[in-house]
Formats: sequence, structure tokens, C-alpha cells
Amino acid sequence: MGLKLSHVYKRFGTAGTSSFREVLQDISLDVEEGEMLAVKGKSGAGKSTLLHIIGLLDTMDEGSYILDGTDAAKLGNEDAARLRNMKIGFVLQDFGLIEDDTVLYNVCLPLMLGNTPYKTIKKIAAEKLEQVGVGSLAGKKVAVLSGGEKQRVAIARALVNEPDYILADEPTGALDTQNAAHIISIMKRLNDEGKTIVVVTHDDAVANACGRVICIEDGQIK
Amino acid sequence: MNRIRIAWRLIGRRKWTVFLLAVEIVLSSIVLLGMAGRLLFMRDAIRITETFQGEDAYYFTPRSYYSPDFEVENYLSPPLKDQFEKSAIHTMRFETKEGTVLNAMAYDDLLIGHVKIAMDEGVWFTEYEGEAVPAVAIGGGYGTGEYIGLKNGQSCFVIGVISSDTYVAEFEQSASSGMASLENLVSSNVGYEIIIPYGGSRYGTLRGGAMEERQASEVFMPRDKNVAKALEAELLQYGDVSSVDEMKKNYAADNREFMVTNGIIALVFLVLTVVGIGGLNGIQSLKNAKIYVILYILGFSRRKCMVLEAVNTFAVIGVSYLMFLLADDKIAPLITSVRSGKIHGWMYGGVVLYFTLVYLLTSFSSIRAAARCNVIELYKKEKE
Repeated sequence: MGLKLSHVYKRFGTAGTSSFREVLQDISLDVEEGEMLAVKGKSGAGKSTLLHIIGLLDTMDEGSYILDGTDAAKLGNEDAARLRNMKIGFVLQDFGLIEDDTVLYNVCLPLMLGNTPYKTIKKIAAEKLEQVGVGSLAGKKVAVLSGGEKQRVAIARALVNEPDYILADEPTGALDTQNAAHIISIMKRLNDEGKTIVVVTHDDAVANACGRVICIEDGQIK
Repeated sequence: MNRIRIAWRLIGRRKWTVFLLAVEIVLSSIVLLGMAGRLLFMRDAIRITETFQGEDAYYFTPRSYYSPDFEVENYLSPPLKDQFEKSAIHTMRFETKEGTVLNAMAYDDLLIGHVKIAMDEGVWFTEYEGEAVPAVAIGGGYGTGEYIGLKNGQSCFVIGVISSDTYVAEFEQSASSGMASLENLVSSNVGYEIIIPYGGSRYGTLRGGAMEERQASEVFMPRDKNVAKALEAELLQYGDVSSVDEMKKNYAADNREFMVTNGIIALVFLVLTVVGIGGLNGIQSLKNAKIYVILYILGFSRRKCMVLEAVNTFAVIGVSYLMFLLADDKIAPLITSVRSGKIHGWMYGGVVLYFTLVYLLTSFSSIRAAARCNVIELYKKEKE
């Protein structure tokens, strides 16, 4: 069904003080189901804040946000967390993996919030790792992997719950060109398989792979 | 179940530290229980020995080379002979009609009249008015109202029961001149099945039927204060003597020493425990912050992260509980070895409270930090 943000504002700090900042100003955005959208902009423009709101990690100060027909602005913390777990997979610039745990355990984590038997969870996680080409790394500690391998593990983890949306925050930011290209191709493939993808990026190669690109400047979509 | 697995994984990251701190908590609990036991012992010892405290009484142990029939009063000089009362406890072995051995302590009338012992059931000798030879059973071997038949045809009637860990007067330890303490007069878990009257004006006796009879020490109480020193001097010629007053002072000194030493140990353990667990939780909370950010992103709510942190910080206390439960049979003797003798249910309740207090003292701040942390800010910091 897609997601729809209307007139969203996000502010940090106390009004009237030097720390006050209006990071997002009157943002309205529709993302259709199955779309692959790139969000570009300079550092501090508000891209990541927008992604956090879309991903239910943060709340907005004003506006409305409908995610697959659910009014996300009205959700409590617990419901927002549940929806985040079920609907959204995250891919982060710094991978967001627990370094001293195994690859398999990291990928299992999103499913461990539910009541699926651990044996089944491990099977599903192993399948996702195979899907992104790092099945052989399942038993290794994350700390010993290369950046490219870590990002593929992070993608496997983002997919393990079969979410409708993949939100990526600078997914290629910490990778070399070759690994970045590989990650882009995986994300493109996921989009072709029907996942809705929103990517915050500086990388033109990533933006070019997306069906639509929006640019944020000073908290507004230009 | 899966969430328990996540918590377990977090705890597993510091398993050896958790184990060591748990051992420390168990040790400090043993010290505290020992102190509580000692306080109980003090209370019971004083209650039993207060019989003698108003008097200038003397605890006397004849020299070991005298025959078992030796009675010191036969050797005292004539002016002293009628100037004191004497109290003794005889230990006896009988054979029951079933052929088993029955170990008994026999109290004389004076002890029976003065010693105050808390009964689990039934009555003490002074409240018994029947004709049969009365007996107070120690432990669960015999019940009130039961007759214990002896092989020689005699029998006694159980009028009351005290538990085996009740403190009773027992004069088996030496008077060790000047060094004895009140605790020489009192003991628990004495290993005898019954207390019976030794035989006096009021109660019947089993004396004739004993296979073996023994008397270790006895207490002399001068009728006149003026002869007290003379009595002490003459008794000293035949054995070890300690005045009850002296024993009281020694006992108080022993208790002071015990409480100071154990109090310091308990305090040191408590401080080490609180600082150790508090410090560990603080460090671990910082390390776990990144994991909570990741879990939050993956769909954990902040409340669930807080619960996870609470479980994580509870690990030390939980392991301590487990150690207590699993090693109770090994821990109990450690506690009783510090002369408490008796571990009451409420003392374990005290340990649970102590654990809870340590947990609250050491974990409150890190749980509050987990509840209040700004996950997004933390994530941004991690990104930087």
C-alpha cells in the first residue's frame, strides 16, 4: 500500500535558544509499494531524520504519517516497535551488527522478538545469508568480516523478517567501489522482487539505480 | 524463550565476572548469616545461663585423672561442706526394649527448676504432674505422649519435644580455669535423644537402668557470698574452675571480637560487592548501549531494552541465588561452623533481602540509564 508523509515537521532543541533547529519543514512524500526511492542531500540536510521517522525510530512534531494504512503518528512505543519489526528492514552505513557475535546470530535477531522456534529462525537466517551470497560465513564472528561482507550480512538481517520496506542509510558509505556495486545490485534485485526501498545516500551510483530521486535541502524537499 | 536467549547471550559476555561476584555475595551472606546465628546463640546462651548469673557460681571440671566416681564435695573442708548447692548434668546410655541405644542427658532438680528452654510441643518438667518418669525428647525421634520402654523393664513418658538445634544446658566442656566462656555451658545439636530428670525428690528416675553414666563438669553455687572465694580456692585444688561472672566477661569479650571481626569482613564484602557489581554494571551498560540501539532498530521497544538490562544486571544476584539453592547442604555447615548452630527460615529471608538490596543498589542506575537513553542520539554517536 506504500507510505505517505504529509506536512511533517521535526524540531530539535528549545525554541528561542541557540540549539533550536527545525530539521524537517513541511515534508510531504508518497512512496508507492514496490518503488525504489533515493533521498539525496548534504550532511545535516535532514535525510537521516526523515529516514528515522519513516522507519518509526523517531517521532515527528507535526504532520501525519500513514504506513500501509496505519496512522503511525498515533502508535504507542510498543506498537511502533512491533510494526517496525514486522514491516521494516534497516541497512545502515556502519552495518549495525553485534561485532563479537556470530553472523548467524545477528541475522536471527529480528525474528527472535517473536515466538518462532529458534531452530526455524536459524534455518530462515541461513537461507537469507545464502540469498545474499554469504552463507559460508554463518558461523564466523562479525568482527572478522570485511566491510562488504558485513553489509551483505546486514542486508540478510534486514530481509529475515520478510519486511515490505527496506530503509537504507548510506549503505555504501563505508565500502569500496566494487563492494558498493555489489550492494547496489543486491538492493536492485530486492526491489525487482517487490520490496519497497528508500535509500539515503550521497552516492550517485546508488541514486542512479533508484527509480526516483528526491533531494532535501535545509529540511525541505527541493 | 527467544528473548531469554538474547538476555542469556548478553550475560554470557561476562560469565566469569558474574561467577566471581556471585561467589563474593554468597561468602558475604555466609558471614552475615553467621553473625545472625551468633546473635541468636548469645540470646539463648544468656537465657539458659541466667540461672547462675545472679549467683557467684563456679563452673568446675575435676582433673581428668580422677576416677569417674570422684565427688569433689567429699574432699572440701568441713566449714564449706554445707555452704553451696551443686548442679550437674549426667549423660547416660540406655538400651531400649527394641534393642537400640538411647542417649540421654539427665538434669538435676536445680537445673530443671531454673533452665528455660523453648518447647516445640508439650511441657517442661516443672509443669508435669504425672507419676511416670518424664522425658523431653530432642529432635523428632519421639513424640509427646509416647512411652519409651527400656530393656530392664523401666520406661519414661515423653511430656514434650524440643528441636534438635535448640540450645540446651550441657556441662561437657572443660572449665579451663579463667578462660571458659558462657558458651561452655550451652550447646545445640547435642546428639542426645532425650532429657530426663537425674532423680530427685519430685521426679522418678531411670538411673539404675543406665548401661553407662558419665558426668563431666558441674556448677557450684555458694549459699553465702562470704565463702565464695574460699570455695573457689578449694575447688582449684581438684580441677579447673571458672566463675560464672568470669565466664560472662569472657563470653562478652568473645562476642565483641567475633562481631568486630565478622562485622568488618561483612562490611568489606558488602562494599566490594556493591562496588564490584555496580562498576561492572556501569561498564557493561556502556558496552551494551550499542547492542540496545541495534535491538531497538530491529524492533525492540525501549521498555524491552530496559527489561533486558534489568535481567542482565540481575545475573549476579540470580547466580548467587542458584548457588545458595544448589549448594545449601555445603553452605549450611559453613554457617553453623561459626557457632550459630541454627539457621532459621527468616535468616534465609534476610539473605534474600540482602541480595535484593545489593541488586537495587548496583543496578538501579544502569537500568534507569537504559530506560532514559536517547536511542537515536546513541545511534548518531555510533555513526560518528
